[in-house]
Amino acid sequence: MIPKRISAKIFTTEPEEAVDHDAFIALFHEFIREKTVEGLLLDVADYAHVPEGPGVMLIGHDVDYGIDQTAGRAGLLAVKKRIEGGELAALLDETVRLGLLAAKAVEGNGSAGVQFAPGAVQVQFIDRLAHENSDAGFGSVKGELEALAKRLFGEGAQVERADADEPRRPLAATLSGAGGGAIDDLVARLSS
Amino acid sequence: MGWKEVLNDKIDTAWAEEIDHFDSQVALRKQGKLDEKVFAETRLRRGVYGQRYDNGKRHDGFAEQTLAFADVPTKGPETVWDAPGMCRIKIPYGGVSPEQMEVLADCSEEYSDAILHVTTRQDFQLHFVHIEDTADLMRRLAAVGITTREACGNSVRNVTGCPLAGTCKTETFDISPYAQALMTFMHGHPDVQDFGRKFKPAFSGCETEACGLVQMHDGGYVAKVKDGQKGFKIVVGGGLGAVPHQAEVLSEFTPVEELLPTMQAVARVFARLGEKQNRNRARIKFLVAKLGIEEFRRLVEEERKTLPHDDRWTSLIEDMAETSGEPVGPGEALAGGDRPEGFDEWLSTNARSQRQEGYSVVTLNLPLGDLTADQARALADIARRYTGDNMRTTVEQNMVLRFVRNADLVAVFEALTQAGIGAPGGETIVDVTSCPGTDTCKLGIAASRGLGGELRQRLAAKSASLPDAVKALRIKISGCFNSCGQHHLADIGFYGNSRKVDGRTVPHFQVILGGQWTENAGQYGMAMGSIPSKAAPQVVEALTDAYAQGRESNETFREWVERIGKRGTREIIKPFMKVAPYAEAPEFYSDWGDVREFTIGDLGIGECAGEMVSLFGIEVVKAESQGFDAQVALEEGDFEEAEDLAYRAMLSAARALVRLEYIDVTEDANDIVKEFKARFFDTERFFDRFAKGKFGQYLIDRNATPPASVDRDEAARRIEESQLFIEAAHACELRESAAANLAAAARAEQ
Repeated sequence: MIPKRISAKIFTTEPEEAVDHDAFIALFHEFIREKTVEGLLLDVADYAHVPEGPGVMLIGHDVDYGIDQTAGRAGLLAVKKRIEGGELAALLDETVRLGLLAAKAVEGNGSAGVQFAPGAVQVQFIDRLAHENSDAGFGSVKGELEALAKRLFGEGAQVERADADEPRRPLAATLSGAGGGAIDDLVARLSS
Repeated sequence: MGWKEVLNDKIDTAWAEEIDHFDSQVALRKQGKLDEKVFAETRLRRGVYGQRYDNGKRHDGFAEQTLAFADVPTKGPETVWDAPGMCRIKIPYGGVSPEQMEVLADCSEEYSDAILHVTTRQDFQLHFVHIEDTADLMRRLAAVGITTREACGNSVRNVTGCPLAGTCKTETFDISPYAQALMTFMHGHPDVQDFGRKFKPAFSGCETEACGLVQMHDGGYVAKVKDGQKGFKIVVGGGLGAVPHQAEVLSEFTPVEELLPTMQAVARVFARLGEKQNRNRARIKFLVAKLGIEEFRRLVEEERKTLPHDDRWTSLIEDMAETSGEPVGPGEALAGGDRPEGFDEWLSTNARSQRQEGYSVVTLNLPLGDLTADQARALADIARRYTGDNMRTTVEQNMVLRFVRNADLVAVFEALTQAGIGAPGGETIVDVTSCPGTDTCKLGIAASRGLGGELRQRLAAKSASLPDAVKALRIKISGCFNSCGQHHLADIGFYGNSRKVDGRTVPHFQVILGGQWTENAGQYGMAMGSIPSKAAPQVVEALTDAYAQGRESNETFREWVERIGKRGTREIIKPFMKVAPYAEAPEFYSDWGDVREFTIGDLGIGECAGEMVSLFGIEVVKAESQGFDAQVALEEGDFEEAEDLAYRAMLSAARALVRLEYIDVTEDANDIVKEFKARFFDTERFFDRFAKGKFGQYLIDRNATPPASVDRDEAARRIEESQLFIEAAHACELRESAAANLAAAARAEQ
């Protein structure tokens, strides 16, 4: 089945570093104004007051972005929403690409003062009906995830299931490898 | 296979049919086969609200932008189909089980932004929800016994109740089963489908505490025992909103067997005689005020006699257990020994002993009422492990765990802290309440959550050094005059408005001081003046410092405010009322948590000063001064003078507007009202987009019908009305000057 939502999180180089939420509020408003990142962008939601929460979000119609701090690990999160159909592999590619491009835009702007470590990407399938967080659920998407990891990080890429001990969370996996390179390199591989 | 098929046998049949019907209506409306107003009312009754920018327009700080949504039928007047909306979820008396909490968490992740927001009426709200996801969202909630039906719309809203019910030392008896019975009885009842406006009920176990807030509700029920028989004191006609009313006593004692039929009779009278055309006067408080409580009571009693018998009047109550859930083990004292860092502070503010020895109620101080999906799941685990009872949401946008064994308090603190929900300061000045305001609400004028977050952060940092009397204060913030943040009940309340300064719009908050939280919201605070939004933290600091230094022994904040008077409090906030020109202090021209230059209503054009503005700005000062004098007169007990000054304040504001285009208008009241009505009211130029002509009507009504006699309530009401009229005059002038500037710009381009 095709999930209604998929997310990709690109971690910051310092996973537990303090995030300047005010800087992200300004930056995301600028992103809306300048249409810096893809999607129909609607508004900025400030959840800086919530510990280990979604931080500051850039809400869109078909994709949300955010400087997410779930589980104490800061990262640029892209959530592709309102998925109506398509091939799972292509949807995964697209979601990761959106996350990488947004991370690149944040880095490029510089005002938020964060750097991202593109050596790993965490992917979530936010649709419990289509993809339950179980061994069987993971098995049903493992092939697509391994193919994606190999494209991003080359031979030796790894796919590690995340949150296996918490089946109530969405099915998730971390894709990583030493052969990644810069964000631009990863985006180029997804686009080729 | 979708959620409908998966959950088919888990949902009450009637609920399932209702949701399927709603699902069909969504499809029909999308195909253009259902009228947009009919669909709007339908979705509202299902708890599906609009949200800010859902008209497809948004100001980006420089100009209004059109959001490029697909061109499909609207989901209501000026409401774009694809624009995200809010879904309100009813939680009767705030009771929620671990299983329900988990489903709420799942839904927040899959349909919203992974945040669950607790409201001031013990509901949950999810934001940024797409209309086409709402039916599945409802099915998943219904499968665990939660409904969104009548969470919005003109019907009986969520039944709120004291979150300590069943554990509280001061309660007469546990109101929970009766709150549940009323909720079950009224849910979809035919007699509640034809109201002109909503009806909010609330239960309290006692008269003295705050938890139930029954005095500010359309219908309030206070537990009483008379001659060994259980019953309720019933009050009606309370409400906040633009002009707050204290509820009046319908019955000093109604036996529990008569609770539901009495409520049914009240509903029938309200449906039959309540205002239907003018929604601004359609709440039951206006009907009670119009008829008088004696006549209203007589009508209810007559109606009661005509009701056909319904077995559920008693069966619903008989079926209810007095308390829900059982503790996980026998009560046990908190042992000595090592305590983790922060535990003692948390214990002092977030735990209170129950009447059952050896147990405590633990408060989760949720920041601005928010918790994440992960935190919700962690909370469900903690509730399962350490409490045998349900969790409850509170009207202070928190949650409580009940029946926590005192011996487990350290473990619970550690588990909550691990989950990020172990903050101390519950129910203290740090625990700021705020409605959504401009973050998501279509009616929001100023950033109530932005200010709330800022105050919370600043106060938490110095909480340990605050005097106990200051720590005990409440701060409540609304984004506009509609009082969703319950600012009237706080020691220090704020509601959002705006002012024009240096040719630009500046976010402001009206300061409301001296509300009484206890005695079920026994008295409302009074307006003291508008301050720029960015000065609000300094105002809080100045007020709390002055109170800490100037209070006499055991003097409450309200008593202190009353003692130093309006002039005294005004002197404290006055230094913060002025706004420097934009070039000197541009930060005043944007709101908290939002870098965009401030606008109201996304006017969409830059605003700059003009002759017209200056004239109005000068003349409206007179109205504000009269409004202030009216408050002083009220405080001094001169009610007739207070009422008259408030009326004259409205006249001055109206005259300031009229003189923008008819400079020779006299100072005669009838002339002013005649010109105001012809130029600004009948033309709807004075109308607020949402409140319509409500505020203008205050002046017209007062001019046409002066009061025969004036008591304290009448004077206080007129002052509230004048305050709102003046605010509306400011807003009108802003719209007028913006339109004039737009026209000037267009001419310049030609």
